[in-house]
Amino acid sequence: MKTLFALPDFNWGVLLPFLILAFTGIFGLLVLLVNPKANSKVIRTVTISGGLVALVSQFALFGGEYRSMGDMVMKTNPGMIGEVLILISLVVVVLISKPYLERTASDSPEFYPLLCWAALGGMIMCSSDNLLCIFVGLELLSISLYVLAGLNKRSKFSQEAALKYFLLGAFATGFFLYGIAFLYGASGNLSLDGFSTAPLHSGTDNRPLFYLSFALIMVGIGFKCGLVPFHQWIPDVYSGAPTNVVAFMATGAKVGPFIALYNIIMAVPTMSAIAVPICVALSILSMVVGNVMAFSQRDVKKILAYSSMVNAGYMLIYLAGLMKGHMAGAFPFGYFLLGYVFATLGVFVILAQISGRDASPITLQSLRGLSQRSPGLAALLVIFVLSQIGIGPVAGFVAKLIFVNGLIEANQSWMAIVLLANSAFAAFYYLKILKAAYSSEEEGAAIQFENGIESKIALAVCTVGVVGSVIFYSPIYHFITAR
Amino acid sequence: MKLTPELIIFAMLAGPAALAAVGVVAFGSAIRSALCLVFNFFLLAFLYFTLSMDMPGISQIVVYSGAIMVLFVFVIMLLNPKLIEERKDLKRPFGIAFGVVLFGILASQVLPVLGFEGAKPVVHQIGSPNVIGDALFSSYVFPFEVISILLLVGVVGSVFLAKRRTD
Repeated sequence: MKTLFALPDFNWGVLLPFLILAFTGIFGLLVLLVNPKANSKVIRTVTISGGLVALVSQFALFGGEYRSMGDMVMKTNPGMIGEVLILISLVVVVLISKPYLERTASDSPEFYPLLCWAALGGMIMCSSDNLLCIFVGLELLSISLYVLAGLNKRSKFSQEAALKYFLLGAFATGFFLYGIAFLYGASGNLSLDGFSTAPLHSGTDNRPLFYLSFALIMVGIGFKCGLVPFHQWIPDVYSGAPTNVVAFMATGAKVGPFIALYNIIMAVPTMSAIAVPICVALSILSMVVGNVMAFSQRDVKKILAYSSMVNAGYMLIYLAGLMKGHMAGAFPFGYFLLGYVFATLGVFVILAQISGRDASPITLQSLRGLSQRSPGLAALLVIFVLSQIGIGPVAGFVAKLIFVNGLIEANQSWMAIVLLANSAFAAFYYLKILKAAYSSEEEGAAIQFENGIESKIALAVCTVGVVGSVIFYSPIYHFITAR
Repeated sequence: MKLTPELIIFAMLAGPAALAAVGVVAFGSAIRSALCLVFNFFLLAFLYFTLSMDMPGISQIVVYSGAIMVLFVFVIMLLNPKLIEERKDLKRPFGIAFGVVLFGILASQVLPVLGFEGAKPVVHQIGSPNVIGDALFSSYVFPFEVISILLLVGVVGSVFLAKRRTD
């Protein structure tokens, strides 16, 4: 029998995490349709179990490399680590959302499906080297986040954050798409391979189109990763959007763009003459501007916003070093993301616990007295912040160590020095957070925080992630890189 | 250069299209700019037809000249903007410089192909609905299915944001 058209090969095992997540969201909506009076409890349970099942099916894929759907879906290494991180942050954020949303009276059941689909978008970005797929994943992620940023309809800050994020994000998306169009025009190919193979075959006459395409793609992806000078949206959106949404924005939603950045940088070795200077300039700008701006901030969420730019700078300078030294660094990159995600998630879980019912910005002032009220919470804050700084037996330290090691192996010691100098400077403002938490509270301004079972589980997951990934470094390494 | 019927048709379509594009940036009033943009999109669609790119031409008319431009005009009418006064700031020279550089890069890629090698033969079928449908449901079926989730997000999101507060 002659088939109408040839379907690509399906590998259902590879697609399973995507399918589970997509249908978890749809099922959540159906629950709402069947029983409009259903409170969020059912949907929340569905979402958490969907996320956990997807996590299991994702873990089953480790130890191999897969391709499915023609060449659209690929499961290779930093991407698979990234997908696990996205799923973990999804589950943690759903856990902490219940008390937070109930306190701020903005608990709407649509939150959970949208979060699921945002995670799905990030996972698709992680698992493709086809720019069309990356773009569709990016849009799925971004559009869900635009809506989620405006989740709290009572708060003007939240609405403002959503509008700013939407307008700037749509603009950045335009750049990204324009870059893809030029790449297609130059190479006749939508795959990232087009960057590395096509310029070799077609001589030098269409080089300008490749450079232009690379530059435009970097603008688009740099916006999503939060690289300076495409960073303007981050402080306002972090500060204004609901804390539980920002917890996802800063962790799970950053992973997809970072992995896409990794895949893009690894695909352009043939034009490293122009790509390396661009990446070095962007990363040094991100580190310096992020550090300087964070230094004078009083709003804790804004400090974390600038710190996310600094972290983006660390990752980009590492990638630039790899490109210069013609090396691959899938595991170190994945491990750095792991340290970043767990530490940031931990800080945001604590912030969500102490944020008040009026969704006003959380200042350093409002952290005062945390150690007196809850020594345990303050101690955990110390662990997470130390991991951000990169000292002590925590994931952040090991991650920076292997980054510096990688840069020195790639013969780029000066990049390692820039990275270390910036992380030393960053310690100042991270320590300001700890100083606030350990100073005595002002009279009449007792710090309030909730301490439910959900937040405890969430904190436990983050602590295990930050500390456990150091203790079990070697088993994790072998598990992930096993062939 | 010989005067062929194709060339005459091309000139009749491309000339006004370029004029309309200039009009979009030259007019001070937003509604005139928008109407020029409609005109430009419409003529572009016919340029696609002359290249036997049926499907892009049809979607150009339906999506751009139809849906998106109606949206543009609608928003402009609702906001009722006054004539925008020209302000002298740094954005303008930067914008002009960026435009010139972009034009230079594109021209350097396109003109040699046209001038020296002669126009390449038109690849038939590449823009036909059959070919595009086949690509959508075979090699591109994964992003195609993801877009269905994307549309769902759009619907759920807009309903959620537009829903009145019930308290």
